[in-house]
Amino acid sequence: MKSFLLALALLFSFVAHATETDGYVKNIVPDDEGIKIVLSKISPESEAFETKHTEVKTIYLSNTQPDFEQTKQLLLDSKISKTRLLISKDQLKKLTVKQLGQ
Amino acid sequence: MKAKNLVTAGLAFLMTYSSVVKAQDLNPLSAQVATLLDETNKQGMAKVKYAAAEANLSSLVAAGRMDEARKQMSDLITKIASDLVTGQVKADDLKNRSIVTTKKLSKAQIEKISQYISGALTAEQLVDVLKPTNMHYQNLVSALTRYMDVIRSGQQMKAPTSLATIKAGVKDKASIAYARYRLNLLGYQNDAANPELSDDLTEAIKAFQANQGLTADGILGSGSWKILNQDFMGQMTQLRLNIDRTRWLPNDLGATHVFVNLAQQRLRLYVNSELSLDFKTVNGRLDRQTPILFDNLNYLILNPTWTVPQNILLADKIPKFIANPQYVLDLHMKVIDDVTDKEVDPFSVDWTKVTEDHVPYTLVQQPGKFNALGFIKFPLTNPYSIYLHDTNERNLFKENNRLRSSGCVRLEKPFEFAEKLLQAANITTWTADSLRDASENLDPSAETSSRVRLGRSIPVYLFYLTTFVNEKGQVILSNDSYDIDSTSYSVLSQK
Repeated sequence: MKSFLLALALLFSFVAHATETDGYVKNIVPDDEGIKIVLSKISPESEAFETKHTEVKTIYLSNTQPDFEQTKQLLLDSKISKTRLLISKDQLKKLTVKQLGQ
Repeated sequence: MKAKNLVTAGLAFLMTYSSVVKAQDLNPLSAQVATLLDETNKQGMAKVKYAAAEANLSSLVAAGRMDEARKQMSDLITKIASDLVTGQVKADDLKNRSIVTTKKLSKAQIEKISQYISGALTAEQLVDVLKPTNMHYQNLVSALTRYMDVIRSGQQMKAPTSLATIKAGVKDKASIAYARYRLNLLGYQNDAANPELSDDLTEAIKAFQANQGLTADGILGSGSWKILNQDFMGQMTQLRLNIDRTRWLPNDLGATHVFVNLAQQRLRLYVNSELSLDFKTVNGRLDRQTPILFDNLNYLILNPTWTVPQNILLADKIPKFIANPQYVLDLHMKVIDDVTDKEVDPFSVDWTKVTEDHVPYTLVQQPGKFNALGFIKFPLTNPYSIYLHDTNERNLFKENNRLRSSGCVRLEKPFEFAEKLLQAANITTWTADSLRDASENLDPSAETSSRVRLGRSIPVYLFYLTTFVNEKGQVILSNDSYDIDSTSYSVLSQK
């Protein structure tokens, strides 16, 4: 029972540490260790998209992540097609990207 | 590889090597497999990987299930022959430490395997047409052959209980004989029959020390003995693991190519199949290892800018920017707003609000002597931002362990490297000196990077060999810093 509760606590702790963010890709900035994804909550169709700062969130994708190349391509495609994304980050900072539609 | 593992690994491989059942004592199907294994073993392949399949084949023959046995034999021979071409350990086995595509067999190679299965080719003929022909493979197999010849001829020598320092006046003939034996094994030729210390032995010791990055004083003391007297069987295993890895390389590396040995932390530039430059590198630290990868170099950038990676920005820079935004300007950096893509004044930014989830600025260091990439960047085409570059931290080249970068390869002699590359591409307008002048005398207000195209694609191999054989046939041993030998050994040991 004790170990079951411990496992349950660990599971909740893992879930609690996994974070999700949704938005549109406003910018992708590469550096030597990966890319920074600049996400905007506002649709690129909105006039505020170009100027509004308050809704911006950044997420970092390390180039040591095994599927880095595919994930980067998905982000680039989503930026061009202006598709809204859901990005999850686990405890180990591994990102999972899902397209939510325009 | 850790010393203890090397000994264990060496024993395992040697036992497999020496306990092989003679092919003529086996049924014909098993004999055909065993004959091929004997031949591929001479090419450094470990038999242990196929032991279970061999046992299965023998069982099928013993049970009289000949159709199944013939299929098993055919599959096993195809597997062994394919491994000879592509490696027993595959690049994928190292996960993201290696970004190399596994080779595929050509139709002609598959046809040759079929010919062996049908008895139209001998094992020796098959191995001869399939074995890799790149120079690193050939050199390492030659080195392994020396070790195997010593075992076959029973001339293996045990180390004396105490190893004397070999220097002028040394009387210990056992230590002299042993030093000569171990140096000859590694390709540092000297007269093995001479019981005295003579010039040829001193020269061999100096060459060994220079290659190992030791002081080349010709005195074989405890530091040099420690490397020279590594476990014999462990060294054989290390050679086999490295031979196997060279199967990933193309047979034709290119007459002009760049070979970075990550294990040795050195770069070699070959021009027209001749060694043109050989110098130190700084490679990825253990948590950001420079991967094994094959790429191309098409141009170089003089006076590059450098985008500060987010990890470095958050850990090292932001606390200093909070204390004083002037630090941004002192580092010759520009702050770019990621939303507008426009430069902003560092004094107008609230640096306390920059956190891991909110980094809406990119810091770009301008060209100049203070730039982290130095004066020249040699971009590659991979998507992982792995490239070669100069550095503003040249003092790191004085250190023996130079695993300090985020994955890129920093160069000890970037200007000489650029000059040779440009000469190889028939571009004679630049020399090392003129490149240095152009860079070091850069007008700080100009802040411009410029590209120099090579007009051709030069292959670059970021590779990992803990046993490297130079053009004189001398083996250079390196530590398994990235644990790639030990990972490869674990893969090979899996039944």
